[in-house]
Amino acid sequence: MRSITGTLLIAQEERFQLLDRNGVAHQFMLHHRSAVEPDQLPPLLHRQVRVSYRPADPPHVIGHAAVSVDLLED
Amino acid sequence: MDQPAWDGRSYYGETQLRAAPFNNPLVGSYIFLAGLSGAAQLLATLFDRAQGAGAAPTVRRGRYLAMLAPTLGTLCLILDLHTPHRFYNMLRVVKSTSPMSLGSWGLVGFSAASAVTAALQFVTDRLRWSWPRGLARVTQLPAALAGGFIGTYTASLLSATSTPLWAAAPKSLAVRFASSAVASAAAALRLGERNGRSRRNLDSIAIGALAVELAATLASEDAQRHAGIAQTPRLETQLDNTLPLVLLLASALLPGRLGRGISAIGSLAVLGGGLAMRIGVLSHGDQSASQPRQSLRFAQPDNLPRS
Amino acid sequence: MDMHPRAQDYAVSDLDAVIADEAELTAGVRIRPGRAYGFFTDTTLCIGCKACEVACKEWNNLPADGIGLTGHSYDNTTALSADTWRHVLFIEQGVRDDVAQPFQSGWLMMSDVCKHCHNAPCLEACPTGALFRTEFDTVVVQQDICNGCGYCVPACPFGVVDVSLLDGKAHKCTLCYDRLKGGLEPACAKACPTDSIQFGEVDALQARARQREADLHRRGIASAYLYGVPDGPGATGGLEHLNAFFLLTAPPETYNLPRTPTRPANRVAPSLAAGLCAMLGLAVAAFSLFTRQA
Repeated sequence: MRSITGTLLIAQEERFQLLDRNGVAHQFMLHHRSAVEPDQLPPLLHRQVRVSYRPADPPHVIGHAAVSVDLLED
Repeated sequence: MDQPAWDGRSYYGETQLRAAPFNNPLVGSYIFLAGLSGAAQLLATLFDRAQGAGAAPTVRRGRYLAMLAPTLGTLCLILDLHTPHRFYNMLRVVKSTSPMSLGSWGLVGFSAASAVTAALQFVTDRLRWSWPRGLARVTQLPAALAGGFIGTYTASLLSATSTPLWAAAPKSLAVRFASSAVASAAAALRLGERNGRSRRNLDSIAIGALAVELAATLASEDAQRHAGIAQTPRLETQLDNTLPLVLLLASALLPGRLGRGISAIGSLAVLGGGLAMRIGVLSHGDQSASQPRQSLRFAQPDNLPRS
Repeated sequence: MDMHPRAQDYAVSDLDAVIADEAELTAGVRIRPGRAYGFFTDTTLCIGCKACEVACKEWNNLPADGIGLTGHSYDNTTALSADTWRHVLFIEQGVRDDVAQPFQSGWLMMSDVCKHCHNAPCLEACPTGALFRTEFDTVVVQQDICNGCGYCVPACPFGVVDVSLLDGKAHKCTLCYDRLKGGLEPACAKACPTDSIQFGEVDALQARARQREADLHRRGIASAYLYGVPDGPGATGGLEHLNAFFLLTAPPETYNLPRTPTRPANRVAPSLAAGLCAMLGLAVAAFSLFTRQA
């Protein structure tokens, strides 16, 4: 499990994009074991979050499965 | 405008259909266990209705055997889901067009009736009360009916897809699954049976069911050949069906301990063959779906159902 | 906490409000619940720019997949999948044999998509009700209900639906359900620069398509035909018609489309009946055996 912090840019169904501090966007989908529901994502838009994820395996997709999405205090 | 006939070419040989994303050993195990449990409950009920107290040990084993599908079988199904913790969504709707929906409800009904019957059986065995026995004779009826259903609906589940191998032979596949279910239940009951006459009865049922399965397999192959798609390798059918059938037939002719030994080996072969047949049907189906030569061939006008 | 400046871009919309019934401006159709909407994909107009693929990925925020080169002409997407809901096929016909076609110069290009069938096999197979028919007569997977059983995948006669291994749910084109609800034309149709992908009410699209077919026949392209209109190829075996249909100029198999797909649900009753009859027959045989020797 890895984690990354950044700003949540786009949320569409269970897919979202995270922009890290270096200006690189990362693509995520909610993992089936994630406690986050798709409708909890839009309120996090433009907020700072920490995403824990499993790297895609096999790497056929440029995107990762997010296991948790936590709001950081700003 | 009528299109020129298909020349056999596809789009760079890329797959035209998607193979089912099932875990074949898991789903194959479920299909096998559902057949085994459903038919065991059915045979136990028939034994009970026909022979009463005389067949009590066989009936007891059948009722306990029927608990395989509700426990282990259900576990296989849930583990096969890609989002397992949402398994209860299977019971959100009832859909007559979806054998998976019908089957989920069938499995719930079978599990409930079988669990009650097995519990009553347990109470009868342990506490030596007599009232649960009468009640179990009632609850076994819905359990046996549901058992007959869960032993065979899995075939319509496969046939009601676009996978060529499964869709080409909806009826014969269902007969194969049903007869294989009865054969494996008879074989499993036979392995625990101590009464010689019941053992021979169960052997006869297994032989009859395997013969029906063989006929249905040949019918399946015929339908698949007719539809222009590849068939299951002969060797697999011979190992899964013909070998146990020959062993059981030989055991019936041989006398004494030798015959009993071969019949026990044959029964084990029936069980192994039943499981292997289900997994084989699943994986050959996946192959037929991923080969455009087969999926595009199956979607030619001569394979349209006559209306 | 420091934030990259790009994160502040477009944090608030430039517009005060969404343009009401924007589809009327872009596609000439007002989107109203209760009517049937679909796509008419006219492959004779397709230039293979893949703007539809990109627009779909952008709007739906779908991850890139199929990384690598296939060598199949300009097609590196290969097929529709859980993360690819529009797919442009490239078929080179006679290009290297120096046989010129009157259009597309020997190239066939076609933007494939979910057909949103009238009797949708995926919807009929779904045991959870996650797949449903929307108020726009389209077929959509509800992500908060799907449990990833995967039964819709083999049910689809076109190989469209797919389960994503990332999130364990089934995915396919939603015909931009969220955009339709906001009165917007689906992203792929709006992005299509040649109007090869046309969005509209199914009845109107079918009429327009028949006109286009007749027009092409008049202009000497006798091979043009419609795939997915009632009684045509692609709408056979109980599927009735496809809400997303196509105008093609080569046999369906060239585009990896089945000529006569069937509705799988039609096989449920015969199969169940045969299985139950076999069970009953064996039960009767077993019962007579047990009673005879009781």
